[in-house]
Amino acid sequence: MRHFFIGVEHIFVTLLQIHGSIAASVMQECGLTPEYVVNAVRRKISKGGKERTFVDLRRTIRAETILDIAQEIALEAGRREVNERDVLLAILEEGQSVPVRVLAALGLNDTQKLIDMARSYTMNVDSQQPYIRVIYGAEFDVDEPLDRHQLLLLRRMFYGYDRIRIERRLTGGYSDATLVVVTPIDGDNRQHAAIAVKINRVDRIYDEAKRYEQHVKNKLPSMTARIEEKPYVLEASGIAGLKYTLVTGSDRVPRDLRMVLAKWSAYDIGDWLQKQLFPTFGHTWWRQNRPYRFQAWQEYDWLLPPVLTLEYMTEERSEKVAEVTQLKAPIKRTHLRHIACDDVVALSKFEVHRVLPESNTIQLAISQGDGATRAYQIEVRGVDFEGVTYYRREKIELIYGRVLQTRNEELLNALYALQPDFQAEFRTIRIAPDLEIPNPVIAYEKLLDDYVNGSLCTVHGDLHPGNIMIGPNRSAFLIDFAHSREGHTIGDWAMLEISLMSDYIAPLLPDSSWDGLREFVQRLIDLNGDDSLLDDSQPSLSALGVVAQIRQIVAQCLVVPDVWSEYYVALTFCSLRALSWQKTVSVTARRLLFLVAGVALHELNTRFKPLPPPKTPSPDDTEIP
Amino acid sequence: MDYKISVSIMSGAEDGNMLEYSLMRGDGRKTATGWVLTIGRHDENDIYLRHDLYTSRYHAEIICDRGAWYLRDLDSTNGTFFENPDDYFNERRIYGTHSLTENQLFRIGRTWLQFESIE
Repeated sequence: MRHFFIGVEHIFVTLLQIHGSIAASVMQECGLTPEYVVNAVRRKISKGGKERTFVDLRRTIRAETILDIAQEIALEAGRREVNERDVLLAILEEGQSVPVRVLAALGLNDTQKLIDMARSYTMNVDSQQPYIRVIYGAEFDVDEPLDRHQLLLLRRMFYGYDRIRIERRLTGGYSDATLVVVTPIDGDNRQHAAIAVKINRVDRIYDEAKRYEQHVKNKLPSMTARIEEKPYVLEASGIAGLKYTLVTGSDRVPRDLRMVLAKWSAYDIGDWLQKQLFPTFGHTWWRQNRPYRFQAWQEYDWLLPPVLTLEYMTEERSEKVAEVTQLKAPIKRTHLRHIACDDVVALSKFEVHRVLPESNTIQLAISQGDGATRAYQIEVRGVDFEGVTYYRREKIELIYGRVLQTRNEELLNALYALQPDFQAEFRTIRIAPDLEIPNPVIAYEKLLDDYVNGSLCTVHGDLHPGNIMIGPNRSAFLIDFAHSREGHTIGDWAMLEISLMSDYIAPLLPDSSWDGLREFVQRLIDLNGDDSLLDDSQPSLSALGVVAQIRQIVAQCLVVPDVWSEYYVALTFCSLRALSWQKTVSVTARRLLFLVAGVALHELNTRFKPLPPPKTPSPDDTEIP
Repeated sequence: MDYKISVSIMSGAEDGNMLEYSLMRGDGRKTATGWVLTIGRHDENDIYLRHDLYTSRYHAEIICDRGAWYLRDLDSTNGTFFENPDDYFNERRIYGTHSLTENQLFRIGRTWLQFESIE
């Protein structure tokens, strides 16, 4: 803290930092992690100056007073030495110091209750038992239990506690990870602060831990959810877990934004996003933007289905096929255009992007680069992992496969599944007598190559209501950093707008028929033009207020004021992404998002044309007189 | 008539120090309608905060005017703040003169002070 004196705050912070101390346990029993309290104290007192104004390191008057009180407490108990409980009680009884004021501000203003709690603890409880019982909270859906490996991992992660209560799953992960809220309970029957645990394959968890170190750790606001410990790995089963320490209110129930969607008004949600989430992280994230010019595919292709999905084929069988198309990396995406369903292809020199043994699948990537956002993926299904092992980043020699579907087919099939009442393969869709919008499953392809003038900053990469948590005093924090990276600034907001469309607005729609939705998206076009047109006579329309407020945030992040092309590009791909999520997104929401993508393309065509590829004068253009 | 107050230092190197001031003892400056005490890092001040480098030399004044108490910021560099009931961690910076209530906490530079008048 760079202070040249020892005050009560320093003593208190020390007490909290002793592992398993009474002070730390009392805080946890009150639903606050010791780290959170330490951060709050630090935030209140700030760092000291560079120069010291006196030579020795002295105690403040208040610190002396408190140590005197602690001495008295010890003497009354017949002891000569002061112990940690005496010091804690002295701080609480004195009641005027910075830490006590900070505790009061955090909602712990009943000092007498804290004193009673501190008195009731037995010191140095060694409650370590070989077996940790697992119990389930009332909100946990027992129809979807955790498997044996996950339970074993959780026991490993909470070693030292008597039992753990699994409160519930944090749904909303569009990833395949398991996220649960766990309350550890110690041998004294005390509940400690709840912790969110993410369980996934080892490589994903390590990847997230690495991203957290690289992009997130040093850019977090002082009081927010953190990954405090290294990942826990269960070697035998290939899974690993990460703990996010949570910050909860006095009721100890961590809430995510999804849980309040039904309770808060559209205005409240939007207002909270603008006044809490954006300022809290904006300072080190979204406002730290730097100019960034990119082609749309670089940032957004990964949201779309694989360019090719193949069924693995052995070499012997491929020899019986009359025609095999050779694909050798590096290759341009345009070369894949003539490939159709049932063709047999031979892939060579492609890099393995991801290995998914549970579904016998490997993913290859055409584009260079790394991380989860690699563009132009090729998925190979039905790989026999008994015979061959594939590693991430390895370059494959040769793989044969039969094309199950191309990306265009997959998108088109996803649209057919929505039972369109228009021609799914037409270039445009009529949504009003005088208004046609582009068909996104056709028009997206050209957009991938367009240049976008945007900005670059640390992005969360997967911002949706299940990842946004609400702490005490409605403070904002984020979890799940599996996609955090340096990326297109407003991509986060486009993603959030789309997930709110699907989770919040779609269920409110009075009419989920195509006609009803077409009428609704016309309101969206009005909103794109001028948000003052918002009509709050219907819940679904007033819900659009959330979108209007997100747009106000986006307006602050646009690289050129009032030029929305970068946002509509992001919006197009984020909404197309949801089209193939048949299991998790309702038909209504997918229909709505399909039209939202079309409307975004419509805005791009009519009001905000993205930039064509740069025209540098070529030598051939120069006319020689 | 006498004026008497106590100012407790509530944070920093002098945390816990309680300072008492009275007109009779020669503290402060008498005005036509009351009494003025100065706060700052210069040793000419009545309330002399020597260890806080974020305090201006002449930072603020505690004023009694016709029996009411006020705090006035003297355009200090790092500011004078009141506790903010809406957000404990973002104190409210004050400019000019503000009324001071009994036991009120305020911050001069980085030092928290508590005001109490003694009858």
